[in-house]
Amino acid sequence: MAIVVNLDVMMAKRKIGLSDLAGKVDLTLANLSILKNNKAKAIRFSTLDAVCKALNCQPGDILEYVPDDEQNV
Amino acid sequence: MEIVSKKGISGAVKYMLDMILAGGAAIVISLPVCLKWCFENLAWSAGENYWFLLGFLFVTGAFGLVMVYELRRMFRSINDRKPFQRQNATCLKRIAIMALFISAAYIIKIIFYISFLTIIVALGFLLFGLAGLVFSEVFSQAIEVKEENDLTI
Repeated sequence: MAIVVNLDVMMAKRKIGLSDLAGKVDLTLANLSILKNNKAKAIRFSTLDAVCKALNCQPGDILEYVPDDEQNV
Repeated sequence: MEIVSKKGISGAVKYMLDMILAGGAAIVISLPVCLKWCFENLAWSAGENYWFLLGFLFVTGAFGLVMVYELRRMFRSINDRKPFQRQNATCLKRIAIMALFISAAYIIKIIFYISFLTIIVALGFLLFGLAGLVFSEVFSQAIEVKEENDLTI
């Protein structure tokens, strides 16, 4: 998929662990892991809102568009 | 009483399928003896040949056992409250294909030994098989929707 989730980058910048973030955004560790590992097929606005609030960032800091041919390079 | 649970109706159906599978396997294995006894002791009005009927019942019996086995697999996952799995769509498809094979066998039987019941059974399995194929496709689509939903965070 062309949308890449850079959650781990932002988590490293904010120095927050996966379980702490899961608790703050009210998601299970499993679901947050799915998001972090780019296995998710969609994200709800409410989840994006909670994550941005918890990490004090913009959606563009977490989500990146990488065209398919650039991904293959 | 719960419908979908091990102690509910689906659990009871799974148990019945276990019995049918075991009983059916025993009958298919002992077909030569059972059929011979039927021919000797019961009034056989349709006029079928013993060897033709033996082969016919072996083939349709085997297909039927596969159907029951696949249905049993489906009910196991239903009882575990995980019905929407890829495996179940495959099971449904196999059940439908087995039904179509049974229907084909009965259609062949019509050519040799025609009877009203044979026609009814052939048409019944044909309809069941075709409907089963449609339902397996619908089930696949439902699984896709569920997977999409599960992976929506």
